[in-house]
Amino acid sequence: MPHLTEEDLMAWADGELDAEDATRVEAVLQQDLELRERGLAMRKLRQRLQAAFAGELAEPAPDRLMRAAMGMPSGAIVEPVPTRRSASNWARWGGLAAGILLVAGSASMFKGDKLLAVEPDGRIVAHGVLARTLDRGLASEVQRSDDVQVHLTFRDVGGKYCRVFSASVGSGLACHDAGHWQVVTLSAPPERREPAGEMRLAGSEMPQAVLQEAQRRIAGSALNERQEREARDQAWQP
Amino acid sequence: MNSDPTLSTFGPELAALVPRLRRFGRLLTGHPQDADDLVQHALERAWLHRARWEPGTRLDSWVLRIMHNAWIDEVRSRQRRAQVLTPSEELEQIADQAIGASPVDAIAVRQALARLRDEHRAVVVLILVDGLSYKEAAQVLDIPMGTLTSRLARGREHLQALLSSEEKRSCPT
Repeated sequence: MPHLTEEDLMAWADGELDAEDATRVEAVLQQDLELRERGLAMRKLRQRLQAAFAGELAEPAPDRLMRAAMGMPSGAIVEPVPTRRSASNWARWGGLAAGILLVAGSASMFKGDKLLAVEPDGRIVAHGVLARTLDRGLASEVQRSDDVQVHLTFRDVGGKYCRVFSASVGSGLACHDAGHWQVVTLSAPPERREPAGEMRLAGSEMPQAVLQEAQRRIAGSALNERQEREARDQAWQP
Repeated sequence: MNSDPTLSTFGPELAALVPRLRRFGRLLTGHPQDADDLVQHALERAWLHRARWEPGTRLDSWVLRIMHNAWIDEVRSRQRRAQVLTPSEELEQIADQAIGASPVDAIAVRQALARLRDEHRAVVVLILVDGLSYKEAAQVLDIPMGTLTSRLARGREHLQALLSSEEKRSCPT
């Protein structure tokens, strides 16, 4: 390669080249120190930009955005999880983040008990009465309180316990991971597109999508009542 | 009921993108509130048009594109917002409270980004901050590859110049 264009250099710095082209560019850079400096400066700028804004990804998102992401009408049920944040994260977020957190906090205060929460990494986990029912409830029991019902419990191929549930937010599948029930599938109630629709979903109407996801994950068969009780009493440790 | 299993993961997958969408929105609009409004709008449109998303293709590029289009529409209808970027109060607030990693650098970078032309900034943010490939970024912005690379080159050059003049000011030799 007799001559490198500015675009070749940029593509190299951004990791856009395949191995062969990258090697060719690097051979030229070995010879031309000035060009090499420019290429490295481009890479450095890229790293600098990524570092400058990496902290923003750890910010908890406000209620309304998580609702919109889940396709839920206003009044449904998500809040940021205010735990396990290190001091350095707080520092990185700075004043901007503190302001946003305050908004998110006050928005969720007057909406009653939430069933879902969002971890800073974007994972949706069960919260409130949904988390408590998944922790303690048995599929064989009819949960009289709070409209959360567990329908089925099984172990997935990785050994984790997973439970199919229905609740006012919809029906879904949650798997126990690192102390939380991570909601891996949630099928919002069919009426979700109506502005003020009834959000209840009877257990018998379990959406195909949830059942298919359960079938995809299940290892062996569902737990019977005794196995389920034992797993619960051992805090769902795999 | 649609029995497509990918539909059941649509919501959680969108939810997982929210932090990235917010960051893109802030760098695009320069306003945290505008950014969140834009993200919400994009998420609602994504649900509305979810049949147009092809499972197996990248959901992030698709939603970023919806978001960018919405922002272009917004800028066209409300030109004044294009002028308002990173208000000084916000920067002061960050400067007051931010300690740790390298807040000073984050502020310098944010200010420099704010001075780029809108179309250069969008390319720089998608590729250098968000880490999309050139091809993905060109799809998000709906521009040909040649336009993308020339905007990236010019945006990057401008940014580099802004940041190095900043350094010279702050560390005189």
